[in-house]
Amino acid sequence: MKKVLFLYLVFSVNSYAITSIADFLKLPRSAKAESLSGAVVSVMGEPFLSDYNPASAGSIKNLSFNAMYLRWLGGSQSFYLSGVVPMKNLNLSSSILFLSYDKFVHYGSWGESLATYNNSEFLVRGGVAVEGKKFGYFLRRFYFGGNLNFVNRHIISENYTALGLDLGTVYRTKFKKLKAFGEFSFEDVFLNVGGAVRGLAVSGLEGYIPLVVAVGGSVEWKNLLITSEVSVGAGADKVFGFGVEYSWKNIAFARIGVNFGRGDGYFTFGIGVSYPFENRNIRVDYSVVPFLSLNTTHAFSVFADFPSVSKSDAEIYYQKGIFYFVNNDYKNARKMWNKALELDPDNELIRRKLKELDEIEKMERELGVEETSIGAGETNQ
Amino acid sequence: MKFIKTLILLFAGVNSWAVFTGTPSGTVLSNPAKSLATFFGSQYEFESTVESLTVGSIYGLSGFNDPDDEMAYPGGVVRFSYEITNMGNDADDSAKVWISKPISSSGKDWNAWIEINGVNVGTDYTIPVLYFGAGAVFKFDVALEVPTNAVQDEWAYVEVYAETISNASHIVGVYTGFNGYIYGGKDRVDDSGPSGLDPGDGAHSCVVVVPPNRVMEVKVSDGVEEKNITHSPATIRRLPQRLAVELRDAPSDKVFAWLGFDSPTDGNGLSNTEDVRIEMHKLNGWWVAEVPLRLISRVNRVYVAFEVDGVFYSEGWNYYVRDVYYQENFQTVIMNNVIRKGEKVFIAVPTGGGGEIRVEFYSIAGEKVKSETVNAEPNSKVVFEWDGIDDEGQRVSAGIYFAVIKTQEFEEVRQVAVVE
Repeated sequence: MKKVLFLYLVFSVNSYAITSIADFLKLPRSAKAESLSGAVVSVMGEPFLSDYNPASAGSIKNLSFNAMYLRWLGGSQSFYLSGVVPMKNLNLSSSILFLSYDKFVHYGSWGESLATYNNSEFLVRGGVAVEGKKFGYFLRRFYFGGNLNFVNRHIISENYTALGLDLGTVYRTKFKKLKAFGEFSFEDVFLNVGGAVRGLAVSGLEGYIPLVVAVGGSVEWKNLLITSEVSVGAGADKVFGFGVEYSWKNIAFARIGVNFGRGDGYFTFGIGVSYPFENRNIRVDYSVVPFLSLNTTHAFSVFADFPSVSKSDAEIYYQKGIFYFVNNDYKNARKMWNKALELDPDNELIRRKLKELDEIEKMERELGVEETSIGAGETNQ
Repeated sequence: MKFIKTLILLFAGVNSWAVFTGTPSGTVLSNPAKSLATFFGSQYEFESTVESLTVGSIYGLSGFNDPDDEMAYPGGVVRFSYEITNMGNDADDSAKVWISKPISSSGKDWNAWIEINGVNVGTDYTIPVLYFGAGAVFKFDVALEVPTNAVQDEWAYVEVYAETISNASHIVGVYTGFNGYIYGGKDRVDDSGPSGLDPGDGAHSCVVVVPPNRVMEVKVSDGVEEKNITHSPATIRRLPQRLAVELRDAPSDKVFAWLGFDSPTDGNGLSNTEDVRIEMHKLNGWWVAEVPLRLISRVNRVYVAFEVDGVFYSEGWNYYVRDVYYQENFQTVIMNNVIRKGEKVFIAVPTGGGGEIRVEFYSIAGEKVKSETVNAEPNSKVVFEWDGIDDEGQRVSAGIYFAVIKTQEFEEVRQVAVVE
């Protein structure tokens, strides 16, 4: 039955989607995505990623948001907001993308100015994502998701609307140890493989969202994220994207990407800074794309998440851990977070905090800094 | 130079009155052409001849209708095609065609003869019975040669006669007319023809002497629009222009355009030293001349004449030149930048020092959909156009596109809206 439904959707795409392409849907949704050249169909963990692959919201545990401001080609600007709300059995995601063009002057056949227009386009998206394990053990490493998109485009005095459907999946697995060469091996390697079909048309409306099929893979290992993707749009050439992200203690991030197939191809660059507050993470990202022929573009985006531990018994221990952590009492911070993890073993945030703690302690050992016991925090009290 | 005119047998008309039994002549007599009989007097023998015919006999020359004169150069030969149809019920063994001596307006001797399958058979030809069975259509040409010393607007014609004898009734008929038409001759009706010599209805085999060629149409384009200035002036943009002329006949030598700026050209540059002579080249059946921007950078009106095979042709063709609008903050001028299907956007780009100039069209996603490069001459302008078709030959979807123009001196981005 699912196969039949899928085939129906694919064939309906062939009938309709090729007829109209809303290119603004290819705009980046985050500075992180842009600096990784948009090759994020297999990456998970943030709300904006649902725009690339609806399944990616499936792994999000906390209420979280992305926002972006983009200074784009020809003086255009775009604004973007997305969020994910984790529910018991599924995650809800939604986003809004708004693109405003620079003032458009309509010139006549002698070059005379006839009228001025403000052109704009927007997308509203709602979606759901679920973990595969809800459907059976054999699907435990899969995530599935779907989005419904509504597009409105206002070009000159014309108005275009369209509805479209996105479907996607991600396979995520972890390798404890991967032998490389000689004695060397990679430990704790995450491998993601994702695929999405975006813009499956829903008939009955005057315009259609472009069909884009994207598949990609990404690897997370220690501080590195390496990702790649190939996508093809209806009536368009294949686009290849590659990106690498390096993080320093999950605080500072550097990213680079390269893209082939979009025009002449181009490099992308970006940085990010994260600050862990008591019970939330905020990260600010920036990316730049030096288009060879058009303007250089700048994107600024924000990611924020609100850990769900605050809603559980683990919250108290987690908060205590935060308290010790900010007062440099890593020993007690670790103790509290270990207790919190016992109560909420699936909580990625606590795991991430413990991982950060490992890295900080390791670094201090390497630098020869003495371990701090009860630190300044207590003194301040 | 040969002119071959194909004349079509009016079977419909012939058949319609052929089925009348008894007196087909009654049908003929009721034709309005009867009034012509008076006008042409003795040339019109149709009436009396038809009256003596009986049904099933030979009706003679078939009709044709062509109101135009033929035109020819001095020394040229014009050929007219005729048909004679045996409408009788058996073969005709005594049919013949002959032509009169050419009658010319100047009194000069013109030469004329009958041709069968391109062979000169003289001025009097008996049709072999083998070729003229019942219902047979016999075709022949009448050739009329223009004397080499003929002058413009001189004319001449020949009269074409046919004689048929029906085997059935042995009635002899000599026809110079049928259904109101005179084969050969001029009706001297001055209606719409050149030089007041149009023979009008009922006149054929008439040749008028004309210059060696004729300008049929004149057009001028500025890269954005093409205007026809054959009959009246037009206004076009002050951009590099292309002048195009359609000639009636292929010239045997070169074709030149003469341009006079703000005053008519005299075709020799003597009294009007500003005149410019540009050699034209053939393009898609037209003769075209590129008019560079420097020639028209300060003029408001351009007068046009042509020199074909050394003969000057001037009928007062001209056009006005007007600047396109200046667009603030831009060096380029974009025109018609909202395009629907079948429409084009135009971008005029100053070439500065010349060299390579490139325009690329990008979608909002930064994807290049179309590009074009030209090598431009300095201190001019080039006009790029785009019809919304991408490099793959597909029409792009509705949306805003960016035209990136790169010259050796500057780079600009202009917006184009493609709407459904």
